Amino acid sequence: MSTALPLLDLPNKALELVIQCMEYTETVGFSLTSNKTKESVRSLKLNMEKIDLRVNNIITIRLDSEEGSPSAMVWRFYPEEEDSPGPIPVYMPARVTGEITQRSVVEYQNPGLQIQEWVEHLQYIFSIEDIQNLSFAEENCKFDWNSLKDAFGKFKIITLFFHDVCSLECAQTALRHFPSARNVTPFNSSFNDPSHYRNILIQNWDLLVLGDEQFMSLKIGLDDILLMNSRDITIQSPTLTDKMVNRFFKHWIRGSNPRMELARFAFGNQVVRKEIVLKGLEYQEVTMDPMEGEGEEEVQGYEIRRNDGTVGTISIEPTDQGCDVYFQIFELF
Amino acid sequence: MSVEPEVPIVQVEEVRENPVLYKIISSDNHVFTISEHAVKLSKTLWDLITNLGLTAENALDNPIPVENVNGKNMETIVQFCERHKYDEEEPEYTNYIREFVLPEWDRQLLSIDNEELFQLILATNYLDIQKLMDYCCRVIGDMAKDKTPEELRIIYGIPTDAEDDALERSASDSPGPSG
Repeated sequence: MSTALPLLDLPNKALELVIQCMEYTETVGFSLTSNKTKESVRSLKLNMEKIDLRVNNIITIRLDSEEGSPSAMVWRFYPEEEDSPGPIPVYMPARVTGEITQRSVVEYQNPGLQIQEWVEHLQYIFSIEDIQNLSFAEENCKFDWNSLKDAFGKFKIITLFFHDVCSLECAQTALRHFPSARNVTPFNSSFNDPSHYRNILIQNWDLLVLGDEQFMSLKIGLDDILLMNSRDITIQSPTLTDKMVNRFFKHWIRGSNPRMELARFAFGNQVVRKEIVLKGLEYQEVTMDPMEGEGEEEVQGYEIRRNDGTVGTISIEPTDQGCDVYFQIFELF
Repeated sequence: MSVEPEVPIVQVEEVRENPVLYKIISSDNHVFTISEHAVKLSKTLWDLITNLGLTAENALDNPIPVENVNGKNMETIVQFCERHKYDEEEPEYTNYIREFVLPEWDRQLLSIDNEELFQLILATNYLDIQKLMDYCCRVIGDMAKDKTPEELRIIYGIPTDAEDDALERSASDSPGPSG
């Protein structure tokens, strides 16, 4: 048998190149072998920027870059017994798999790390501070909530994400146990009727995304929109109308939704008439840059002014599906 | 000053299209000839040649001693440089290093045991041959395929944290230089 190749005795330049030749899943495995290898990997500043945690029948960690990395990884953590009835505590994984989509999979016995220690390790080697998404993908959470909170409550979680099958009750419980989350995104038919979760609408989120063409048929009304206390909202709903948006703007002028900085009203097949959106509003026409991802040509904007002097700009931008009405609040006079 | 070789010259490849040849003497006194295009792949050697003012006229009379590289590694290095002397420049890193596939000829050349590979990398690093360094590191990186952390520890001879700590303690306990 060949002797070991003493990798850590190589010149730094060579060590770095060797690590860069590995798949990211192999790099993670290498980083787990000692503190020195952990530091070596961290020092490379590898391009991985987002960590998502997903809770379904097992717990999964997904890593990706902002623009989508060819080395995006999914790490899955399996318990000793996979068929345990819930609620169960967050387990010490018996087996882990690391997958780079459609390219490679590694699988091995867990090297003695709790799942939260895995999260910490991945955060450390890729220098990622926050958990971008904590998502729930079962109708009822299989895990004991206090145990989940103990495991993940100390992390700074940006967004709580509720997949299609997650029940509203499960989502409400998650919101109670992870109150530090700043954003809420349900792509989930349990959220079709906002009258069932007005307590969520009135919270001061940084971002609230409601409605999805594929998974939801959101029944939004003007009263629901006026309850929203988020900085940034996105609403996609078949009940959304140009008239409703126009009425919303009139309420905003009189002082509603004071925290709002950006609203996106996404219309699918519904007809959006500019004259209805702007009806009865005193506005000033301006040209402005399009919203990110909405092309490059300048768009027409319509500035409206609230009673306290705050200016908001309305723009109507065509999309592949129909059109979006944006409302941006730029400054306070 | 010219150094007289103690062993026969190893003629790795006859270079007809480029008459400028240089002589290199390894640490164990093996002598190699290498063409100008090939030797340029080594930044260290080419800097040396430039600084010494070697020219087509006097190059063969002035062998270059390389004390950090033995004959075995130098032979591999000269073969590699002759093989790749007309290659186009590689793209900058980022994903290139991760994704490039080692050509079969090079894989054969680098099918050597780990100790030899380790020494070859040290020699390559000293001679500053980027392409050979990339290729050697590709071979070593490929050893990680489908391996568990424990297997990686064995393959790469990685000490455990306890072993590292013990080593550090014994280093700090040992008496310093007297004086």
